Amino acid sequence: MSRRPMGGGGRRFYSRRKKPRDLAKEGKQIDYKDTELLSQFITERKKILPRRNTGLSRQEQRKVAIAIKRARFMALLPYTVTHK
Amino acid sequence: MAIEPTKYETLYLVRPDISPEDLLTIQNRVEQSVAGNGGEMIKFEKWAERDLAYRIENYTRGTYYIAVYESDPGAVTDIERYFNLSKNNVLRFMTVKYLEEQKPADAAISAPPQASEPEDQSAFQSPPSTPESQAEGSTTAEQPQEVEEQPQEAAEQPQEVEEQPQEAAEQPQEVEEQPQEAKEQPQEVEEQPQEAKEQAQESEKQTEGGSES
Repeated sequence: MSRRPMGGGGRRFYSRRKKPRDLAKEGKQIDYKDTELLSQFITERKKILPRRNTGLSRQEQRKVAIAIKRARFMALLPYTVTHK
Repeated sequence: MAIEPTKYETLYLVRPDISPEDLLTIQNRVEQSVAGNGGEMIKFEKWAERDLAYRIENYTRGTYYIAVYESDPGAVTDIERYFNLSKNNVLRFMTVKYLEEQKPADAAISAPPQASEPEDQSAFQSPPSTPESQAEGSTTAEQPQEVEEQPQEAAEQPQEVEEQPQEAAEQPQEVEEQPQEAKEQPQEVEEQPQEAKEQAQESEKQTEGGSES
């Protein structure tokens, strides 16, 4: 009925906003040994962040995910926070 | 059958208390494997000694060595077979294709396809930084804008003037500041109904005039 935008209606959802990021533009290569870079793309609980939160391109998200998994295998990054 | 030589990078992790002899043996073995397959060592170095992200065989620390070489794939299988046999010394190893140093030109070429994304940002994003902290701030920031807008609408649509204070009263849980705004709103509203009524009367006259004719 009213054409007023309802205050706060669309903003109640909790979401970390997506800031588009381009690692290639930043001159960064996605290397599994670069834990400092990779740790930007994992959560507090060491899960890989989804693309909607990392803001990476499809290709870069894929490279990052693979690099994180490699780093995990080499014990450079943890799989979880509850390692025995 | 000749296979194109490729650049490989092998990273391996040895236990922290490894004897210098064993360490040398491993290094020699890697170099032999590369040479034996007609390859060429490009780099061999101790990469890092660091705490492991999780315990491996009860070791919490380890030393990483990195070998970069160009050879056919035979060297890789050779090296990895050896690592598998010396598991008590080599805790982890991984061979990947060597990541060439990227030239700035490559970055520039690969950049343009991404150019469309920043537009999304401007469209989506009203708070410029730290969205979580500003999420609350933005709701408070938006409210005043509404208040500014409302008088105009109130002037246009007298009926809505009554609705707005109610909404303001309904929302106080969200932000502490809002009740103040809610108190302020009725004052503003009080002023306007007079104008609004005048306009409403005018509009009524117009509608009456319209209905009569």
